[in-house]
Amino acid sequence: MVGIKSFGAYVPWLRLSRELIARGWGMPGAPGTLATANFDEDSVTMAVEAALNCTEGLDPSTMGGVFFASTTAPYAEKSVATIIATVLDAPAEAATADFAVSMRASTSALQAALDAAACGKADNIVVTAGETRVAEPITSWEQTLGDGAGAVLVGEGDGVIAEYLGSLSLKDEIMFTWRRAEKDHILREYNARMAQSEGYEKVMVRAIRGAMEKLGLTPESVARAVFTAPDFRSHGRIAAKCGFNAAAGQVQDALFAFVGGTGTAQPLMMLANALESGLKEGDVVLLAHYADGADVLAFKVTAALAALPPRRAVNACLAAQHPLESLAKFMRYRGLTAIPPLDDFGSPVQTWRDTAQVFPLHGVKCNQCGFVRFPVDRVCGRCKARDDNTEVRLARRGRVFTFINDNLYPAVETPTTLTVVDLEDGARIFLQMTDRVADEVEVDMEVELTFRKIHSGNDWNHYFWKCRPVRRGGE
Amino acid sequence: MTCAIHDVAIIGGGASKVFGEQFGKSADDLLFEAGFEAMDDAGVKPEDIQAGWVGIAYSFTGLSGATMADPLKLYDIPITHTENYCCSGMDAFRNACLAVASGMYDMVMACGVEKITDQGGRGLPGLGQQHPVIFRGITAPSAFGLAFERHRKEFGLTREDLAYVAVKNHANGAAHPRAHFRREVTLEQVIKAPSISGPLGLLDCCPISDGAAALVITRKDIARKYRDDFVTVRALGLSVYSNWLPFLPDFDYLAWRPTVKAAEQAYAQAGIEDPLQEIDLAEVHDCFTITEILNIEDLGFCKKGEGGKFVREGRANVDGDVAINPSGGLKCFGHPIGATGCRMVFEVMRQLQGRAEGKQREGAKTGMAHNLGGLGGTVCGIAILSSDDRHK
Repeated sequence: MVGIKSFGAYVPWLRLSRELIARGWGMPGAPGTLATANFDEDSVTMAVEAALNCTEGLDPSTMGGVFFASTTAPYAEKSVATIIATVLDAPAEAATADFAVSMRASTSALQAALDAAACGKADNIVVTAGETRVAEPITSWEQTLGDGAGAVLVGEGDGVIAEYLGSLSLKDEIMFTWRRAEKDHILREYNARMAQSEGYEKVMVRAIRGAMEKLGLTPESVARAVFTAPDFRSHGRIAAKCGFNAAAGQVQDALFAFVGGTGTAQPLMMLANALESGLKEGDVVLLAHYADGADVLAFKVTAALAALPPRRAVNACLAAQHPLESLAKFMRYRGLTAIPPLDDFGSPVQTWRDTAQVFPLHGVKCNQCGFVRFPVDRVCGRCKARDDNTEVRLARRGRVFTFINDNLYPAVETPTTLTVVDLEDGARIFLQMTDRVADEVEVDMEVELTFRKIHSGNDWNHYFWKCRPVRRGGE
Repeated sequence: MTCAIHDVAIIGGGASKVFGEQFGKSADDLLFEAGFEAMDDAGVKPEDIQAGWVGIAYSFTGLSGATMADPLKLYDIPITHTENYCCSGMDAFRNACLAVASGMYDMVMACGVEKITDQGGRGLPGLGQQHPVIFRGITAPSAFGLAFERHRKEFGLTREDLAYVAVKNHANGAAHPRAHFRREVTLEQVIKAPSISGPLGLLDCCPISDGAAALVITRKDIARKYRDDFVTVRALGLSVYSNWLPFLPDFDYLAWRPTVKAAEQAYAQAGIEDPLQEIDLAEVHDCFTITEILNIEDLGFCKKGEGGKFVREGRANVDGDVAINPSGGLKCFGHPIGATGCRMVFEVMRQLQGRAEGKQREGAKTGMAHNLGGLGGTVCGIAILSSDDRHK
């Protein structure tokens, strides 16, 4: 049996109310919020978080692949899947692939993973998508696009929680939204009405109907229809045309109200949200995703879903949030101001040499006295044993030993909360703290680690770990 | 107790005319002022100097012994550039003393210089080895300020305690003709100043200063030929710990470990058992107000946890139990990194000679210069000088 074995999602902590955007420009606003990546988050860090949530408890050495999908990857040339695979501690031999350019990159990656599992090429393939699309200010897109990430684990065997039944794909050439390579930072469009009706509505309905016919399904036989949409209104228009009863709970919420349209990540986030929301053995899930055509995939939930330990996915993330207090900050985070990104000391040589420390956060444990320490060094600082260490993955939780809110470091936003953290394994580490209210930080506060962008020195993204107050919600 | 360094004497000292933002002067100009003042003060000529040591922390100020040789035209003699973070100048002095004590040279010069403002920017420029992401975000005030929450939790240290240090040191420095700042500050001004890092406001932080200082060093038996009021060396402590303090679970942020260890060395060499009774004044590293409070405790002037109270009660005033930073300290006098150690020794020398340029500690016989460097205390140098041992 081939299919999905686990799922995860990530929604950033910061939420921008549409009302705040509307007030900023003096225009009408819709209710609800947009999930907004913090200044140290991007499609990579969010995908890492979703993938870590998805693979919680999985032995990383069993990972057969890591596929990343996004239209907002930080590099035009440079793999992101390798960054994520390295953070996850996946073996070097795991297949890594980057899916990009089309918003259907995520469903392309998912199909590629399912095909790889079906032909026995790989098991335990992590498919993750992260997105941070930027809308033009003072357009309806500005109140539509949100940030987020989703992930699923694809493979075969008894651990499959949703068996793959089959798929159907359609292409449809149309100029709906686009960004020109190396030219456009913000979303372009020409005539949304034409694209919504002639593009999205017609193609999506045709694809969903076609898939059901191909796979011998009827609208009534589908327990949950998980279909994406470019915007909230469009999502509401096609349920009835496909024969689904939204009022009866047959249609999966598209997350526009509090998260926004997350592009490539949207189908994986919605699928994760469906799998954590009351599906039972035998339920058929139809996943449909639109962009320049449509991909439709069908799954049947197995008994293994009930046995899967709770995952951190959309529900848990929605429970932990903090309002972003100004439109100006939102615009700075989105790169819509002339303020340059933080340019600090960078060295690809040092980063490469310390890959195991920087990405999967490995330290060492002294084989003589058990002292766990970071950064890695040769002689134990306690018992002075020489070169007698075992490389270990550091704990991801700890407590604040001391901290300070510093205004001198030239960060995107001050103060920078600097912390000295005692990790659960005894290691002590200096970390910046993120996603916190500076005045609420305390000694002994419980923290968890999160992979973030530290700065953009040398014109490339330097990622490392930060800490944040332990997120409550969804437990 | 005697050891070879007890035969070492300082017969002259000098410093740049003013510390602070010396935009119109180069490192050469600053060392020219300090070096020739020291030689004139000692009554020696450049050709009498047999070897030199120059403390510099930043490579942009200058590299190699030639940084000292050129402005003073001390060519063809051995000159060594010392670097040990903020203790660079103190280590220049220490090495010069050791060279004289060894018998290798009779007459040497130790100096230090820093020309920081040529580089501009906010705060100090980055110093030394760096990693692109590990330990990123640390700044000089945060590195020391991380001690605040621990000290507050354990001993009840307050924001006001920090401010009293600034008030005291500005009151002292305002009277010193060479100080970077020539003004007093009030408790309210200190507390209301904008935060630079956590509880450390603008007036809790030492300024970015340019400056230089120099000392002429010889043996006691030779010193007598030059002047009667030379001062002698009683101790030279130096302790180096780690660059990675926030990664060391055994570092508790309640004491600056290098200060404790360097003081142990220095007190043993000097035979000092009760520093509060036996030391009259101390130039103590106060890059940030919290640094001075922990140092006062670590040097044994009061019990651990009582440094704030010690300052608040006036016991560290010029006329208190021990005069802490009668010059105004780094806080008010200024902190040209590589120069500071020699500048402190210069101040202590003049205090012990009874010719302090600012506030004089009356009857001072034993004085300390204490220098702490690195991000939160990596290295500490201590010199204890005396005006009482000339004939021993």
